[in-house]
This record gives sequence, C-alpha cells and structure tokens, in this order.
Amino acid sequence: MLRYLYRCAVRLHPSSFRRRFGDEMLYIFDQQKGTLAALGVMVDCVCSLLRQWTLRSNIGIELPAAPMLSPAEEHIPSFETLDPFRPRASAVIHGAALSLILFCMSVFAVRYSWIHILNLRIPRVAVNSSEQVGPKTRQQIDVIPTEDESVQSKTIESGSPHVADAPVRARGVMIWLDPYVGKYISKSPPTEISIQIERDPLKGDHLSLSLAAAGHPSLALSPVCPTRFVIDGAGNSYVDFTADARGKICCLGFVINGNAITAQRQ
Amino acid sequence: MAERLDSYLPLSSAVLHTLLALAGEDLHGYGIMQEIARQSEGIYKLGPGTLYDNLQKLIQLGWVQELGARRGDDDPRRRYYRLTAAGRDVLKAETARLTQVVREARSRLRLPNPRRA
Repeated sequence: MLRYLYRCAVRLHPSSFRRRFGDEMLYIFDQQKGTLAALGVMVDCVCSLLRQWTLRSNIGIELPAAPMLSPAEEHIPSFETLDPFRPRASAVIHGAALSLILFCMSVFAVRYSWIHILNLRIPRVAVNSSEQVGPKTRQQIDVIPTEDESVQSKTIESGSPHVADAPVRARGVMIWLDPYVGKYISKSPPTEISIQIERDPLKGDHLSLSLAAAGHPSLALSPVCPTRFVIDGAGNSYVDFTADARGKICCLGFVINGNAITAQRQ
Repeated sequence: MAERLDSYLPLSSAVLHTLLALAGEDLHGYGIMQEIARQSEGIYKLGPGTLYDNLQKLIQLGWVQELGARRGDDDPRRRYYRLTAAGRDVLKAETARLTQVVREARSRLRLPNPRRA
C-alpha cells in the first residue's frame, strides 16, 4: 500500500524529473527495511514533490542525457517515443484555432440536421417586456424564426411570457404548436380556416390548437403525432397537416359533416 | 575562476555531502545515500527526493555527470554519477573555506590543534 502511494507521489513529479529519477527513487524505496524507514522516504518524497512544483523554475527543461547502453549489444529493440516532445507555441495556437473551427462546424451541422432533416424546432424567444408583466395581461410575443420560417407575431392571453413556445407532449414526442398557427384557404368549398393556440385554464393552462372556420364553431385539436391532430369530442375525426420539403407546414385536411376539406396555407 | 566559484559558496549540507560522497568513486543514488550516512556517522541522512533534487541541480551546473546504468549491475534501474572537474574545484574551494572557519573557531575557543598522525 505504502509502495503504491509512493509510486503515485513519484508520478506526480514534473515529467522531466520523473523520467530521469523516478525509477531510481522507486529502487531506493524498495531497499528500505521496515515500515518506519519506508515512511521516512515517503515523507521525503512529498517534500520533494512540493519543492519541485514550487521552487524549481526549470520544470520541463531536459537535463543532458546520459549515455545509453547499445540496444544491439543488449539484444533489445530500441523504440522512440514522443514523450519529451514539446510543440511550438504557434503550433499550439493553430491547433486551438482549428479545434474551435471544427467545433463550430459540428455545432452548425447538428443544428442544421435538427431543423432540416429531423424537423425539430429549436425555440428562440425574445420577449418585449417593456411593460410590466402581470397576470392576464395582453402582451406581444415575437417568435424569432428559424432559417426557413417567416416572422410570426401572435397575440395571446398569457400570464407567462414563454408560454406560447412551450411544447406539448404527444405519445412521448414533444410538439411545438407555433409552426401550425396561421390562415389556411380552402378552394372547395371556398372558406378560410384559422389555426390558433389556445390555453385552457380549467386544465392548468393546457395549450392546444383551435381550428376556426367560417360558419362553424371552433374545434379544439389535440396532437397525436407531429402531422395528425384529433378533433376533441368528435370521435375519430382528425386534422392532417402536411409539411413541404423544407419541413414547413403547408396544408391541412380534415373531414367535417361528411365534407372533406383541404386547405393551403396562406 | 575563483571568484565565480566563490559565488556558489557556502554550499548547502546536502550539496556538500553529495559532492563529498562522489569524490571517492562513481556511485549510484542509493550508494550516495549510504556513503553520506557513513561519512556523517549516521547523523546526516538524505532522502531520495532531496538527493535527486540536488543531483538535478548539480547536473545542470555541470558539477556532476550522469553515467547511466552499468552493464551487469544488479538492478538496471540504478544509474551512476561522477564528480566532474568543475565539481571537484567547487568541493576544494568549500573545503578551504571550511578549513578557515575551523581554524578561526579553534583560535577563538583556544582549542589545541589536533595532532597529526
């Protein structure tokens, strides 16, 4: 145990010192007879450790090398290592800059794949909080668009500034409701359909989509999956959303009163 | 040259004893420790950390030269060290200084000079 501790203490010395004298220090430790003598050597090693790191300003400077035994005569193969290699300062700076560039590129690639391939939305909300935020005040929340979204501004009843961007969980999948919000135009029959976010105070400010069409009562929609919402209280009636190649919701379709309605986003 | 040596004096106990131990023959680290203990009759004992810290300093000053391992030695971890000519000069200068100190002390304390054998 004491030998293990001593070995650890030796390994904590500066590398140039350790490479040069580490094996010999272990050899001397092995020569000690009795725990007391070993303990004395251990204390001396700790003092040496402190001295090397605090008082010696030549840490890292290699001492003149001793003549080595010829490997050929000893029949031992000779290997070179890069242990004593110290890179130039300019090389370290270049390496750091290259690492930073690679890191930024990786982050950009991950973000791009989230937005354009996995169709995951990264929320970025800036709140105009110049006015005092209080319960049940009307406030403007600007959703900063991702690269393929236009700026949307919505006015909702909100007591919390971030509530519009809160996701809704559906079968373990988090769904943001903002991308569905907007006006949709149906040609047959000609009608305008509005999708908005609503909050239900009776369900603990639960968020849901509402579908409002001219001449029809507003319908509450609950998400089943990112492209399908069930119409609450209408049995197995669904509203299906379709996304374009860029992942942006472009149209919706549903059946109401026996009429199939398909509407394009305005 | 003498002025340059004087700037290193007085030597610390560890350096003095290490140089003195190597003045007789080439020794490895553990041998230096044993020789120091013998010369000081067990009064002064040097730990390996202190020894190699001083050896590192002495090698950098060029007073001690590392010879490496000896072929056929009991343990290949042992490296031998040799006192260089510069190290010997420093040791001589320190010995002269100490002789002067001892002479002065004997004079002040009125101690009899030791008889030569």
